[in-house]
Amino acid sequence: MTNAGRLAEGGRVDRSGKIQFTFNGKSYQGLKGDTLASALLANGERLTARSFKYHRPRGIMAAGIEEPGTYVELLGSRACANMPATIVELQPGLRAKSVNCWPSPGTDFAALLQFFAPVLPAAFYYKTFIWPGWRLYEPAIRRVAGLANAPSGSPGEGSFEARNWNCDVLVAGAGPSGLAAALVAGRAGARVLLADQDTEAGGHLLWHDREINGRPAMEWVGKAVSELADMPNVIHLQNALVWAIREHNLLLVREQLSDESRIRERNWRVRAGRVILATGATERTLVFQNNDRPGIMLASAVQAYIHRYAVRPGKRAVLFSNNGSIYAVAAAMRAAGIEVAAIIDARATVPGFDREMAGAEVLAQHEVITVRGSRKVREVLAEPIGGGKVRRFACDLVVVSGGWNPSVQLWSQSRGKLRYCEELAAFLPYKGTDRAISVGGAAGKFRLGQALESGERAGKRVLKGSDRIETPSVRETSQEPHYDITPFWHSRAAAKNGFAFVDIMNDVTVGDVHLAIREGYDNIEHVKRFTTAGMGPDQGRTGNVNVIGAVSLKKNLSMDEVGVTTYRPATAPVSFGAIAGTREGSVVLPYRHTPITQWNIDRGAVMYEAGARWRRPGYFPKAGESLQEAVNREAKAVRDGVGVYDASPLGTFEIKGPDAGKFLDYIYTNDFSDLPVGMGKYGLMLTDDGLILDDGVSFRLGRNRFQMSTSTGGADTVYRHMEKTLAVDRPNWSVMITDLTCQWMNATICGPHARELLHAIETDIDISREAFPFMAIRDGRVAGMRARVARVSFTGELSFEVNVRARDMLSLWETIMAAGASFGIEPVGSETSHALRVEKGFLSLAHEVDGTTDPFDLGMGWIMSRKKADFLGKRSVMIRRGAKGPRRELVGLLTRDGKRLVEEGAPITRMGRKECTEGLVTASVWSVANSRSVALALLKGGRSRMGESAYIRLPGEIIEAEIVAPCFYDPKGLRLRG
Amino acid sequence: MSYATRIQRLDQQALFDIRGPKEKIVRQFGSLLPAFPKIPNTRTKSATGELCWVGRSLWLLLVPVCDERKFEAAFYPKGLPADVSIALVSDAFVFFELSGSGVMQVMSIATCLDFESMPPNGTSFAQAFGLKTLILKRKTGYELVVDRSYGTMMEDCLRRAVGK
Repeated sequence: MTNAGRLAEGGRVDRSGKIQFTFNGKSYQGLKGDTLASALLANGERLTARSFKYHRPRGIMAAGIEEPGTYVELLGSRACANMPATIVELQPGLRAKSVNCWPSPGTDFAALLQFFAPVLPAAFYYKTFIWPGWRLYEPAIRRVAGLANAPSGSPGEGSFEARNWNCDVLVAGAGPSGLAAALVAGRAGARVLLADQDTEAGGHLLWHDREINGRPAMEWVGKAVSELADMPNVIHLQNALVWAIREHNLLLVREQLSDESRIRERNWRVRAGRVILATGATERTLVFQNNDRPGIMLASAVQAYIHRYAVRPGKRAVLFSNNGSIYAVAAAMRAAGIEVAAIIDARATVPGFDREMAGAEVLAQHEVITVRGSRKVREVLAEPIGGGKVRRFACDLVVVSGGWNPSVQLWSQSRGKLRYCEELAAFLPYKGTDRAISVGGAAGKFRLGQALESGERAGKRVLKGSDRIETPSVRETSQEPHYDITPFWHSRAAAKNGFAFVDIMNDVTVGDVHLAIREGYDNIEHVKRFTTAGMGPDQGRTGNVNVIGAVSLKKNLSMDEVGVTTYRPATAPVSFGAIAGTREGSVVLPYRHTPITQWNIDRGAVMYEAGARWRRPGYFPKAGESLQEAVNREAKAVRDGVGVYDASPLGTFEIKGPDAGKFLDYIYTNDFSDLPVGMGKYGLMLTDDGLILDDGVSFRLGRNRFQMSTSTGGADTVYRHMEKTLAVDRPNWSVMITDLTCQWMNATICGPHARELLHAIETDIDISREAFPFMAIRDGRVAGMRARVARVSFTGELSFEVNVRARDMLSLWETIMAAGASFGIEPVGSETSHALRVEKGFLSLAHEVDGTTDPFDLGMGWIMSRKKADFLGKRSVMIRRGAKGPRRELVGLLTRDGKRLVEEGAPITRMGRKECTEGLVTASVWSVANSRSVALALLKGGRSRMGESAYIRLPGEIIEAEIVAPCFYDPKGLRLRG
Repeated sequence: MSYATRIQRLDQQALFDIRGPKEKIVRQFGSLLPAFPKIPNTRTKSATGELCWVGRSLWLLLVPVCDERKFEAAFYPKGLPADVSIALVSDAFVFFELSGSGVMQVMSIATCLDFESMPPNGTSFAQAFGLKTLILKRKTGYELVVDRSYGTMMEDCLRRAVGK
């Protein structure tokens, strides 16, 4: 293809930098500095997309982020979905394709849908796909609807980054007002972040012939940019869109980087003291029949393509406007060699200075009725407003301007209010919080002089009250014509029938808006949801106010009475990759290791998370072994010989202070203040509502010093719970809590030979049964290392928890494994720990303790102290106990078929019928000690049903099990006390 | 190109978690400790080590690991006031040193703390990569101190941030 549409001179493109690119499989050439849109226009491409719903032909309509017509999917190493063609920077080798069409925009099979438009009005899908069910239609609809495909893998080139920043002032937008504000703040020494969505600073000055102080405005822009670049306190980003403003001035900025950078897209999370919004204004489209045809463009876009990209988007044009800004565009078009056939002006009178610039026939108080031409514009039909003689104009370009909307998305997100301004026919910021200030076009200051002044004023205002008093002024002047507008929300014919779009992106017509009102969805928020107007990726930038205008006309309300919808982040499409940043792959979720994690991995352990982000070995399979075989082998070693497991992830806290004993008495259901030094006790902790929060063993280390252990998964919760209790409920108690979870690592030796093994690795602690009873704790040396040894058991066997400093853990572990070889020691994973504890009927958080159980439910009423006046959760438990009706209680289950294991979580119903459950299986394992399966369950009234049958209801199967006591091994606990 | 930042996992250091009324701690152990910092989230230094003020009544004492036993012995006298808690937490944390010209870039990825505004002796708990982290400003960069169990993950995150 050639660059037939490229002007011979002018523009800000680099004519020496030729770039090859591919669009819809065809090769083209563009220039450095082009966007994909400008390059396509230079190559004479007009039909570039198909519409979202009706698959109507669409072209390029705008020159920036407001583009409603042409979204593309980027392919290859820079794959990205749903980018407006107008903001895709042309890069060598760029590959893109149109979205929402197959096989191409020229021949799109789904275009047949437009012929069914009368039966596909807004919200038709809410009414049509009800029977027999939405799911039946969903796959087909999803295939037809939607835009681009999300990239299937990581980007081939570059990576994403998310970073944080703090500054005194964030300025959004580097147009004249934003630059002025940044200069003032920057010169005063404030930490400034200036972020602008365009590739170059200057805002609308990039495509307007304006002057500042008698010199081309872009000269001033260049000086401002270079001054800012010299300020170490200023960060100036281009290609950086501020896409959200959140609580406490947290702003999100998406920065797109060039091909040379290893970073492809970066998301800045900026905490700003103050925010200046210099986001400019966006031109509105006009609403008439077929206002979406390829070749219809915003006036500002035409001006941008001519001045910035040296592209002529047509040869003969008709201009349609309701305001004075179009006349300067007409002059620019003529200078670029575009013939202006006529200017159709909806205003009743056209001022003389506008007519002077027109250089073509001006039809005042006229409107466009329709546009002829399907794949490109051929003819415009216009008539006087109110009816009259229809005039026809042959053309290949229709330039429209419906007035200007201040870009108030961020203002609105900052909870600032908007008010309709009759003079500008636009919603303006008027009542803000103290967080953000709008300046320039974003505040309705459309004249350059006003914009510069408002930027400077805002720069000074945000520094008020700070100690930076030096606020030099930026005084620039410029002359320009007055902006005069008459609201024109849609043509007369548009209200009757046909494709007159108020939201081009989402194919929403004036008729759709009227239908919403007829059906009672007449609040503007309801209109939005009923029609989807403003809900596309362009956020309805060019059409939202036209929707409000259409409602206002139909309901005969003022624009303020209709109001605006809520603007939400993101203001433009942002890659998920940029939001996630470097948080991908192995660090998507946090993970925690113990000093022997690598040892476990090296021994082929199957690792997975086992609560609180700890990666733990599930089991240690030998060659050819299944999970169950490995677990059986490990369990047998513990029951008959000796095993060892890494219990380091259990939470460990030191509780110190004169009120430490009192504190433990308060948060546990049983007494701890009476513990002798060197002894420990098992305890249950309840929530305020009397449900079990956690369990564990606490030891007394000294008069005012305790060591508490918690479950692995509950450690953080318990820590927060204790700190909150002390801070809020008992602020006068003197208790200090130190988290020692990672200070002490723990190898638990368990099994009948545990004592022998401990002797074998040598310890100076007397570990005889008499000197070191069950639930005691001793300090000493084990295998030459400083150690704290505790006698507790989770497996039901004789156990010694050997705690050593983390730095010694690997050495201790290897010593145990070496010395244990002669005892047939096996390392034990969490699967085996689980099986062993189920045999013993010990409770486990997230199994039996599921947030609904109290101690009585688990048959642990004995742990509720009767001596203590009060403890946390006591009252709630007692109130609950006073209520009538059975509760789910912990029982054991033995399946009638002893070989049958049941899925954990399986429901239990009466006689296995399809009805409300009466309980669930909390755990089910193969018991090596009993050579059969055993299970624990929470069952309604379970303890009074011993010997009866329970029925576990599974898909296609009902399993009968006998209800038994929830302990299948050593019920008297002789072995663990051995 | 990656950010010019050197990440080094530092050797074991001795660390004591000290809690309680400052005047009692001073009375009992004043001679052992560096002067108490006057500004929260800063630290002081002496020949023996560094004392970081990181909570309302919480200080962290950082000393060479070779002095660990000496301090431990000194901190557990018989008459230690009941409302003073001193716990050895050397093994509970790992230390990473970040230095080089790209350190600000990496820090900005790691944490939302306004680390640029930290004084030269700034020391503060904050989040880094979503993990509770003690951040110490150093002459050549920053030190990140994180729960030992997260050490591997922190290293993983830092390498990703640097771009290696």
